[in-house]
Amino acid sequence: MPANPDAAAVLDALDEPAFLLDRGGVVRHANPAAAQFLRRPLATLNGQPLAALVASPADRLAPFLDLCARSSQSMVGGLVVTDQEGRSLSCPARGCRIALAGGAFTLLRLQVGEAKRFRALTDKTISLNAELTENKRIRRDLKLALEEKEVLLREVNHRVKNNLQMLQGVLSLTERATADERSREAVRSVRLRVEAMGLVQRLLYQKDDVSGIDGAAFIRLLVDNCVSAFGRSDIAVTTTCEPVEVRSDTAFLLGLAANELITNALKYAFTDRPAGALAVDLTPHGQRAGVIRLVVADDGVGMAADAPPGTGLALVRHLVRRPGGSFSVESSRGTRCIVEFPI
Amino acid sequence: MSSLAPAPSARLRPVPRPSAGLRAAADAGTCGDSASAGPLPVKVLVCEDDWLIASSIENVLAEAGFAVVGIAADADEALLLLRRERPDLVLMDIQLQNGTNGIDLARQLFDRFALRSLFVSGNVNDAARLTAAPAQPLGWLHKPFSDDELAAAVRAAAGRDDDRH
Repeated sequence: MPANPDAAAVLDALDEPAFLLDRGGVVRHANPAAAQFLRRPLATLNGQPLAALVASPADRLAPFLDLCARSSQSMVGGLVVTDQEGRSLSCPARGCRIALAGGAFTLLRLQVGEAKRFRALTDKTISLNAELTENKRIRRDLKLALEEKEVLLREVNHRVKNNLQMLQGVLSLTERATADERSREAVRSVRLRVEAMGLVQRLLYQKDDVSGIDGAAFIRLLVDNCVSAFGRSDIAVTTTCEPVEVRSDTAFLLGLAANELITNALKYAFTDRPAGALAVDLTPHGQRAGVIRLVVADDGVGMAADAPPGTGLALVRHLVRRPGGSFSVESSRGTRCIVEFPI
Repeated sequence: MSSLAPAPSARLRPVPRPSAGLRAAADAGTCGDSASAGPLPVKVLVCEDDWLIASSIENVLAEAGFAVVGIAADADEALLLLRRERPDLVLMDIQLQNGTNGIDLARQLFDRFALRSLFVSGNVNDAARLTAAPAQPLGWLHKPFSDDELAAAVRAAAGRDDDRH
């Protein structure tokens, strides 16, 4: 059934691709814009089922055409066509039933301008999707890398602690096997220094945050360890620690210094007496802001002004040489050592 | 096996005694020495694959008055020593030799022999505690630990084990 010539002329004047279809969905007239859009000769379109000219799935095209054929109102739908690069392109379409002299037809118009906008939107969506996929891949790779690093860090940390334990064990065995009192004393000093560092290492990795440790808990454990190592249960020890977080690098210095001062007191302050008192205080601020203050005081024999500095005190002086550190000794009734480190 | 570790047969030894160079256990004032009259010492099986650490533990515990019935580096050695020496408790490292997981071994020892373990590790976390829970741990000792911390932990573990029985 040929389309009405007047209607055909109207369609030909349109800039947008348009078709007149019969009830079977066969093209009875296509305008030049449709031929150009489909990149086919105009003469080959008439008489072809529309389904053969477009790439729309049959289960979507047929219901849409059926809807248009039954409606005098413009129905909104879409067709899928293949562009020059072979890509599928969705194109919005509007269709309605029109009554012409030759019978009822379906007028179908493709909204190509919309399709171009839609194409740009589609391209952008595809690009964004690709970007999102790439970002997901990067995030997944980073997560895996982070997990691997965490495993590696745990393993390294485990090795460090095990090696420190081994070192402490060697020193402990050596100390026990050393008959000479002075030599045994020297080995014990080294063992206590290693144990002080081991204690920092242990406390650092007992929690998730490795940036610092609980200074109060650390000093209490350290005091217990030193007092126990010297077996001086006759010394009344008081430990007063205010809550303070100590940075990991400072913690090692603080631990070594505290170990030396406590050890010094236990070794020398009470040599001529069966009992005495030792006080260890840790405060989160010294005389200046931003420093942590450790005071180790005893009521022992005191320190002679001209006494040559031992290894322990020399080590403390060395430890406080970093900016902000200080060390002073007061000796009148007993000895009072004050160490300050920047927090 | 670590190059530091002696042959298994050398480790599988019966109850050791403190060496001559050590202070007498009585001086430590803890559980008393088994050689003298008094209660029998608590028998401890040490599962630790590092020979140096194990030797140090053995010395410290012997000095503190415990009887270390042997040192096992893996599950096979532990089971052999356990059947032979009947320890009261186990000091259990989490990573042992030949792929032995100390937590798995401790669970096995608890299920089969009602033997409980004091765990020793440089890497104690919530997951490890959860996995070890069925073995009813006697405690957790974090590496690195001092001699006194070790003795105190084993002493406390022995007390806890007594409470249970």
